[in-house]
Amino acid sequence: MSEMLANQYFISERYSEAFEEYSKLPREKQNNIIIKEKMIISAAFDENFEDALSMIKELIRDQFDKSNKIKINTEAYPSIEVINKFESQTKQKQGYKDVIKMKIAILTFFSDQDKSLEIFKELKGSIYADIVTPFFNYHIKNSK
Amino acid sequence: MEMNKELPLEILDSLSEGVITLDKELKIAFINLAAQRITGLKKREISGKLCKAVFHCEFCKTGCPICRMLETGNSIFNFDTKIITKENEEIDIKINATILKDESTKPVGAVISFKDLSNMKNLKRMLNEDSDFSGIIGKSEQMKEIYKLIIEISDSDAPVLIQGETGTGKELIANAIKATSKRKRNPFLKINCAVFPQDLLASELFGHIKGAFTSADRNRMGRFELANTGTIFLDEISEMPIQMQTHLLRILQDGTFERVGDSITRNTDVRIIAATNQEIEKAIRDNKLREDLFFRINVVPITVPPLRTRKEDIPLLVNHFIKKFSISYNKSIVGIDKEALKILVNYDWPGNIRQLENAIEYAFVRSHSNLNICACCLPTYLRTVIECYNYKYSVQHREYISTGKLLKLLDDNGWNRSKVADILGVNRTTIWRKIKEFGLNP
Repeated sequence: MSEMLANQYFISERYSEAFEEYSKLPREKQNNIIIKEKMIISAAFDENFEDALSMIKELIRDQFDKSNKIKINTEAYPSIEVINKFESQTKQKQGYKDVIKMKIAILTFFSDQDKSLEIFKELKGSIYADIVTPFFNYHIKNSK
Repeated sequence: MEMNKELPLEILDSLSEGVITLDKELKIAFINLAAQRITGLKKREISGKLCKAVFHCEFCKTGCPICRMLETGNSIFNFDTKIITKENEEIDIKINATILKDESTKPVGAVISFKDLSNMKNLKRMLNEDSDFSGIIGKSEQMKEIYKLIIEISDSDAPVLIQGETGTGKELIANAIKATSKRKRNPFLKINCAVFPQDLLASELFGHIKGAFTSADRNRMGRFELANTGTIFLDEISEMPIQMQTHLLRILQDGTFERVGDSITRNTDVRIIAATNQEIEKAIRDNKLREDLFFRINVVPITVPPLRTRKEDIPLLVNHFIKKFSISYNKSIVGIDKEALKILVNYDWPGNIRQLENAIEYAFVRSHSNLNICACCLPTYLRTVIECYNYKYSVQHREYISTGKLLKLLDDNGWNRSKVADILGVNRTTIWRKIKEFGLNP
């Protein structure tokens, strides 16, 4: 287990391997906000979306409720171009289902919060409403 | 990183090699003066930034040496790579690197030292001056047609199939296609399909998941995933197992694949350049190559001509290899005798350019003279018995140099003692001694 190796995979956009390495870290490490964010991004990019969702719920509980503003690490996190490419590839393959929208909403939350807010609006009546509402509230709170 | 405070910075700054340290997030913690000079970047500009954002190393995504160190636990020695400087100039560097560990042996950073290989690059540039197109040597009409085609397809992502006998330079053609394409700055991975057993090739190309086979102790990306947005060169495509050709066909059709042992379908955006030295029709007839795959990869066919059909390129290639080996063998051989060149031009070269290169290297190793390669030094399969002036002198007269013959040689060579010493295969001081001994004057 190596946080440094996980970080290397993450910045190399090898998200599946990054998630696997982060998952091997001790629980207290995984609770670190920066690592948790990276795990959520890695999970959303790869096929571990259920993990991404449960971690997002934890993040909301731990951070949003404390009114902590999420710091965006623009350099390490995937750029909007990378996310857009992922979005178009996934849409082409699977159609623009709610699950894809949710993935993009989560990913853009860490890079382009305006776009993220737009997608969360679209998802308000979806099966993800329990996650969407606190995100929505977070956006409103932080845009004031 | 804590260690920086303890390091004697003056010592690190006095080194001619660049030194940088990274923290566990791969951010730059320290950079010495030499590294700033080599990269053109100032400490204040890059401290705290991710190494990939600063160096744009060609291996960032496909095989970062730091990543390899972390995976294997081994340090890196003399690893060749390229970085992009502040002036957007690509430079060759050689790096050594080691991982820094905390008291519980967990990696917490890395120290990387690197040498600027610009001087070596100058030598390469000197060799490339002979090149007529992107590292390829040849001015024949057939080669000019190929250069034209490569330029015409530079905006395209279409698959390319390069056919040609062994040793004709198919890989150089692939390099040129990549170097002129719009994907030139993206990953470029090469794989020889003939060198991997079937199971290993599948894992190499498509990756695997943990537990897919006995030694699969972790998930691993394959070359198609690593080369995403770039180009992949599949050499000896007709040696790829027929079952795997089906997977390749699918990548060509819709860019999707699965890792070995996985049920998740993944996407990749890779341009494929394939090559073969086999006769395609026969490979299809013998069920070694799927016909549908052939039609898919044969969008842009390129046939590299054998050397025997472009003999006008032989002198250019010979001169290029002479320059190359002059550097690597540190001999000052500058050319080739007319007779030797005639032999080379008249030969059919079944092994093509690779065989020609080997023949020149052989001649370098055997050459007694430091001036020209002579016919007697060529491999025996190229010649029968050759009466060679240089060889005769070097062997017969090394021990005994007569007054008359020495005087003739000196006259013939404008009294250039070094030149005569080279011809006779003796030290220059021996010539001086003999001149004095025989009382010779110009």
